Amino acid sequence: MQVSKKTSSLFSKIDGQAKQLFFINLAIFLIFSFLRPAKFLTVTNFESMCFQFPEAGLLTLGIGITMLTAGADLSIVSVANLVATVNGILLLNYLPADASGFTIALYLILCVLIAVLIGLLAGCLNGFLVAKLGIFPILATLGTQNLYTGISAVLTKGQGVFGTFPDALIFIGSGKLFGVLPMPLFLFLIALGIIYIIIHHTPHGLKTQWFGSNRKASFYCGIDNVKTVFKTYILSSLLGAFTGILILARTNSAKYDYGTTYVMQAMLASVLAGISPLGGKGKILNILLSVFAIQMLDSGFNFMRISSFVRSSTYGILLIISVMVEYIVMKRKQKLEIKKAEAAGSGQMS
Amino acid sequence: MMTDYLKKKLMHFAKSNEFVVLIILILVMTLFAILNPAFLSQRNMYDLFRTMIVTGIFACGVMMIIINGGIDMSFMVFAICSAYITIRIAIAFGFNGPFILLVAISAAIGMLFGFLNAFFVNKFEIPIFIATLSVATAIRGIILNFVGNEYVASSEMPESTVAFSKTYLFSTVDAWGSSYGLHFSVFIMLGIMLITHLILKYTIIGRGVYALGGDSTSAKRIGYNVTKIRMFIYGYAGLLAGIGGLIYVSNNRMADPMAFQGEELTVIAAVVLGGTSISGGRGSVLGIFLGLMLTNVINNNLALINVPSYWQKLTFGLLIIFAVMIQSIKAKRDAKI
Repeated sequence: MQVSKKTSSLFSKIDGQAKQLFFINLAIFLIFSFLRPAKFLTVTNFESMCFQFPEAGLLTLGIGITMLTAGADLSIVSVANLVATVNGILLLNYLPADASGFTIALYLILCVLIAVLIGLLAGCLNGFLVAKLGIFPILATLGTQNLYTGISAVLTKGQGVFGTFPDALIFIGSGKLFGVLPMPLFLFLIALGIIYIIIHHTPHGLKTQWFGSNRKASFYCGIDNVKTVFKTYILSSLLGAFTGILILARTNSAKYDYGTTYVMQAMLASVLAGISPLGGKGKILNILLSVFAIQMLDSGFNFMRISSFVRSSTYGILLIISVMVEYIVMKRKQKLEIKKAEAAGSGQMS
Repeated sequence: MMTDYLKKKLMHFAKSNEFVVLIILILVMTLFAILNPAFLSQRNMYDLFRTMIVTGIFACGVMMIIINGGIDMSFMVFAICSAYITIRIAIAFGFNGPFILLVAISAAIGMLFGFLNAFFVNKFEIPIFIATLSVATAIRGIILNFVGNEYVASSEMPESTVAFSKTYLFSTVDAWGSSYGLHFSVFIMLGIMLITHLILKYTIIGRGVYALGGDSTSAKRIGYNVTKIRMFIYGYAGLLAGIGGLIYVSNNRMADPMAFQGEELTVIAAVVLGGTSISGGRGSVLGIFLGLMLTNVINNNLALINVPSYWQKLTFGLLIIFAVMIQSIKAKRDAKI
């Protein structure tokens, strides 16, 4: 009796968006389990999904936090590709073939440093254009996206980077921690936790949300808007940079135009997670649920042998529907509030 | 020798964004001409105009949407999808009629797609970028799956389109005996630019486009019908996409439904380069013409000065960043708010 009470109170604490996402996940899970039980409902399938979705998940985190500021960092995938390209070249061309474990470890640390450096530089440029100069975020990041992609293309002369990489790197992409937890999933969960704490439990996160919902009000509250947005774009570029390491580790290759559909997918996941494209609203933890739902949809479609064309158009349709639902829910809430206020007003009158 | 008229025009430029673009354009063209004199040959200039045709037609519609305050990510998809559907229909019915009819069909399909954008933006207030991106992704997937994903080769294309692709004016023969000329569709592009200019400058709905982009609340209070203006903007952009798409398909003598993937930015960049402002409801046809010239010179002539093509994205990215920076500094937007 007591237990059920506890769970019910816990359940009511979870916000509506998370509940909705939970049911979406459940529905997708049930549908595909019913349609393709032999392939979908297997441990191998879920395991491989856990290796695949963290990449999109990290990018969604990056785009999600910029969407909180009513923008969108479209350059994030190109930052990831740039990091993957530079690190790939470093490991293939400069790491001696007979290197000892220690040298390899040094090189991998160097890779992480390079990722941080590239992430910071790219984030600074984005932040400078968006926050300091006040350029429309989508436009500014479309420009830097071309620039970063262009640098990768020039570095590789328009080719890809392939080869054999150290085992330690491959472990990051396809190993399992303690033999159970896939490394990419582990890294994604860490990033999710960090971003969750930053957005929901630090002053910077609060400022980000305030800026997103009303930038004038936050300005007059004495918040340094430029700094807030600047930091947000640095954070998203850093997420992109770490995704770059993951891409290199998982696919053992890097190409300047890898994963161009990720931007669309990440925006869809952000909106599905309840992050309003107009800024201000959103719960970071919901991203886990929305990204996982999309991944299930993706592999489910794969097993159903549905063409990739239909799959990509589903993204578009889903995105529109989720924004539409959000709009309708918002309008209804507004109406309810107006009614409540009217009722309260008339109550006072009498 | 500079005529008075040109002087006047330049004086007017000096205060505008277009002036900056013109200066950059002249500098870039001079640089190209010094590095390779062949750049300024009549033949290369004709080619330069030819590469501008399709993007130039798109740019007129894209400009209106940007003036309206958003980024359109759908016009390329609309263009190729309406052209592809048109060609498929024409083949299915064994169509042998005039080219203009095909253009009309393609334009109508494009306009319907555009209304779809307008519907979502008007009815659900979906941000323009997200609405157009998702509508485009959805439509491309549906067309590729249900209409076809194989390209139509030149032998199957309707005869009138092939004939159109061979229509040249001012044909001349060069020293080696091969003839070249200015393609007829260049004049279609110029015509569309003129019409767009006249609409924006001299019609109530055109002024409404600027008003809506400047401040939608004020536009509403003045008495503009915002819903109608948006319908017009997106419908017009879709219509131009349809026309441009069919001209592209005809001039290439091949309808490839996979074409134009992710190339929206080239046009958007040209439009923004030309001084079209997302925040202020500003932009002119002359500006986008110059912006287009600049992007096309850089995008298509790198090979002439011995720069490998994989440098293209980098130079292009720098160009866009440079352009938006200049614009934002010029606009002196209060970056703090």
